[in-house]
Amino acid sequence: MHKKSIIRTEKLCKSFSSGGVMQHVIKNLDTEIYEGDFTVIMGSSGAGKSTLLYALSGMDKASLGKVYFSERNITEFNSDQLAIFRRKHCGFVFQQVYLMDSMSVLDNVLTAGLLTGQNRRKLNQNARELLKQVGIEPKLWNKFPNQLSGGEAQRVGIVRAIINSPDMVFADEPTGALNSSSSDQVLNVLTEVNRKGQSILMVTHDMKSARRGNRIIYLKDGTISGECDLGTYVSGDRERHDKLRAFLTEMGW
Amino acid sequence: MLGKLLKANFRKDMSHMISFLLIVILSSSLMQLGLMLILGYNSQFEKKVEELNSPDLRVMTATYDEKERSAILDYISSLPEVDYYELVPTVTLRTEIVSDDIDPDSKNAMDNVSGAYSYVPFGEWGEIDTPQFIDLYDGPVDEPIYMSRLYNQELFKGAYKAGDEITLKINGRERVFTVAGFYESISFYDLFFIDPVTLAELNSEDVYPIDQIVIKLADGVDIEEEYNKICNEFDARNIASGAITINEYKLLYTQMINIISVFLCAFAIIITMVVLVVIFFRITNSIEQNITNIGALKALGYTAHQIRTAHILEFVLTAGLGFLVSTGIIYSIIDPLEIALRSVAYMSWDHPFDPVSFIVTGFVIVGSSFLVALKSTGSIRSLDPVQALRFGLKSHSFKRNVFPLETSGGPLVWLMALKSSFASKKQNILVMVVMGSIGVSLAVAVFVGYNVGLKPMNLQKLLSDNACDIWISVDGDDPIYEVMDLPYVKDVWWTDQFNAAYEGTQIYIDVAEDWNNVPEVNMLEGRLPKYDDEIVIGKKLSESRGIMIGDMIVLQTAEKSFEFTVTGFAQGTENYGLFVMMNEDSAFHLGHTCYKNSLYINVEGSEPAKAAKVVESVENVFGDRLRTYLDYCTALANGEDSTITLARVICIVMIIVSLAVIWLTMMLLIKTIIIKSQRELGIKKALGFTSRQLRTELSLSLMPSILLGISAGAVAGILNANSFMTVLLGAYGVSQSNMTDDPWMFLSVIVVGAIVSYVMVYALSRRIKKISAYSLITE
Repeated sequence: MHKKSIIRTEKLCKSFSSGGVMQHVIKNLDTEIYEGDFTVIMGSSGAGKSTLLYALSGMDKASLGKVYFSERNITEFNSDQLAIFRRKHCGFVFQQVYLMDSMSVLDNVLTAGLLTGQNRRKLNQNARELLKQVGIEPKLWNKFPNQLSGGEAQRVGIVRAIINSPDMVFADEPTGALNSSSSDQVLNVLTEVNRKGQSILMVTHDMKSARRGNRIIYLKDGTISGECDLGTYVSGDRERHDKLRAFLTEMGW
Repeated sequence: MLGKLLKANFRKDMSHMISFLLIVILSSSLMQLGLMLILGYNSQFEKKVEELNSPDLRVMTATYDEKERSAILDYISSLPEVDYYELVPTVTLRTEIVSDDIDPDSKNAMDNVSGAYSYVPFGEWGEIDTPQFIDLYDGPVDEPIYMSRLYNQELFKGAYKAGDEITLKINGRERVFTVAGFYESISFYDLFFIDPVTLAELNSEDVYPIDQIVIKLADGVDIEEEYNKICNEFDARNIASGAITINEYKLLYTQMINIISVFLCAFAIIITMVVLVVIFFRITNSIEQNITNIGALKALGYTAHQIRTAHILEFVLTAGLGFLVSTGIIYSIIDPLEIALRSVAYMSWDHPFDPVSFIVTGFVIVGSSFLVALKSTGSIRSLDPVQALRFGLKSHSFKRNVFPLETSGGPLVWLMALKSSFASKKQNILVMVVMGSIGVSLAVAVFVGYNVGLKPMNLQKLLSDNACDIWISVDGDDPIYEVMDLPYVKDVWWTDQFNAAYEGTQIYIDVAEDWNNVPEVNMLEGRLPKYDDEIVIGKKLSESRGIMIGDMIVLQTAEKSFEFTVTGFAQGTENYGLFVMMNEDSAFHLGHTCYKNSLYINVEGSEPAKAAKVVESVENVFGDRLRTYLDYCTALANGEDSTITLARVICIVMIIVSLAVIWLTMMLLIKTIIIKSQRELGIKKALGFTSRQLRTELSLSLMPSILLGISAGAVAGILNANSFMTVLLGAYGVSQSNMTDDPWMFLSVIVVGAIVSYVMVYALSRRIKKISAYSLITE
């Protein structure tokens, strides 16, 4: 079956200047990210995983090359156009969660929804349903982020990311700051969300997290050194685990 | 160790400290300058009085023969309170100033200063108030003339310089003089010194036989009492006389400077309050933001005392630097400022280094900064390092969710702004105090600007019971009837003045045909006189003598005395508030026959164009019978009055400085907010908020406290502006200022202040544009 591409890059480059020396983090990268996929970007530390994620999402600007997001060249957008684009088409889940401390759980979610001009009543209903679905009890809805556990906060972060049904959810090490049990809860939520059709692009260096994806892209020195198709995630699938391990071993992980 | 901490603090807070430094420079400059002026000019006056041996009293008498003169001098020398006196050899001559700029036929007192002037033979002065010559011309001079600096300013608007030629037509004979120099004198500012031979030649017809007697009183004698005693005696002898006390001279030379100084100091106090609030805000915020660093420093072995001292020194040193910079600025501009102030001070000021104002300002600015910094850093002392390293356990602070998005309606940015505005109590207090203080100063500036700068008639009404658009002096019987029906004349009335005594005190009596027909008499209490035994008195007189409405008081002239009933109190500065208003019928009881040739005219709409038409009509109707006139309406509109010009300048300076303070404080506040909220701003950007939305949100979030602060300040400022003016003008005889203080004044301050603040905050928040969501992620 032919998959529909959501994001496509052409000769994407990203460089940083550090102490007067240019560091080329992403080098002439050509790739596509497909609708409905749970794509995982892996690679060693400093390979450019997060840099690629933020360049693809329009959070950061490419140094050279093009990024087509839903067939629009977002590398030509200015910062305000990118902001407007992000609010409608992207959702973000961060390692450090980044909920707004001064706002309640529910307000954190509603803010993202109201920003796109959603109907307040429907949005409210949707936010409550999603929070329930990710296991955030109503008693927590009016709490502030610093009153939540790390796992709870990250699940709220996921709800905030999907409240606008974005074209793509970008997750940057979403379990990086969580313990094992919280990580599982968060990954389960992401898997469930993906099952319902939400495209996800996740960066991780954790194999357990990577196993949830159906497509693994391995990044090395700013270029894609390999890809692996894992198929649909099934819990306890040993073969899937071995396949991923073999791929990563092959990539020199 | 302390040095390192201090250096680190300065490096970290550099941009904040620059804003703080600028506000300190502003407040310190205004305070030190205000103190320097008030102390400097008052002590300069005392010094000059001492140096020149100025008189306690200057008496002017109309003396027609030597016998009369001897009697007057005998009387003065017989007074035990008189230490010594001198008869100044003045000659008063009819003089025309001949100049291309002066129309000799003009009757306008503003344009043509010709009249009766007093001359003294050069060199013939005594020991009392010896003139002090300055700016002497060192070139050759045929016909020298010396004038006072005050005269040059008042009569000629400072037009003459030493060496300039001035042509005078004295008793019909034209003579070209050279201004050989200027002099300073406390009481003899209204004399010309010329060569004795020239004066003898010109003095063919002394048409104004006025004697000038200057008196030094014995130590401990009450000057005012002696003044009343001498004037009453001359009244009793029917000698036309006038007298001026040294206290009145002091008022002439220093009062305007005192008013400016009070404005500067009051304004400086307001800005100093802002400085102190800023210190408190910055330090407490800095502690909050750097609580983990403070914990780390404590863990490393720094004592609380060292950490506190570093914070305190950061502000105290900056305040000290600001104070020293302001001192440098003041002393570098003091020369041109002193020259500019001569137009209102009439005397030069040596302006040496003033240790008192330096020490007082330094103590107030640096001392109060120290105390507030000390208080603000108190929390460091009790901070446990472990607690600090764990973010002071503040991560579990519980807040109230204000304006929850699920139930609150309205645009998202507005709701977010409302949420933010409730987020920081400290920030709101800072904004409210700053805007409250600025609201007060803006309100006073608007009040003064309106009542003095835009509608100077309001000030005129406060200072005089005869405020009018045009004053004319004409010959003829009942000339009022010739003016009444002229086009554009709205009101016309005459008044006449004479002196009477009340319990030995000289009182100025202002008479009108019927005060009830005089427009806009500034009545403070009671009603105008209706019957011939009724009078209205100045509020100041009632206060000084405990006279109440309904009381009967006896007034006395040389001819008669009569008991009048007081029906009300009026505002006016005639005779420093010691005046009485009565109708023509009442004046008969004191043996006074009114002279009705001094006419006051109000023009329809008080429009300068219409005033000019009225003047033209008056000139046509009266011809040579018109002696002189003053078109206040046009003069005030053209800013020809130095007081009004000064008031306008003060208002503009107050507004500019207020806006500068808002700008600097907001700059500091916005930087703090942005640094504090960097993370949240980054998150919002990641979610898709545009920079414009975030800047709007920030600007709106400050509006509740800005509006509350500026409203409180503006209302307080306007409600108290008249009290402030009463205190300020009290020395002139104003006992109750009642100038316009309509609600539109504080409403305009609130609206304009809020809009300007919003625009400033929005402009200052441009740093938000630089915050990228990506930097948030990678930090």
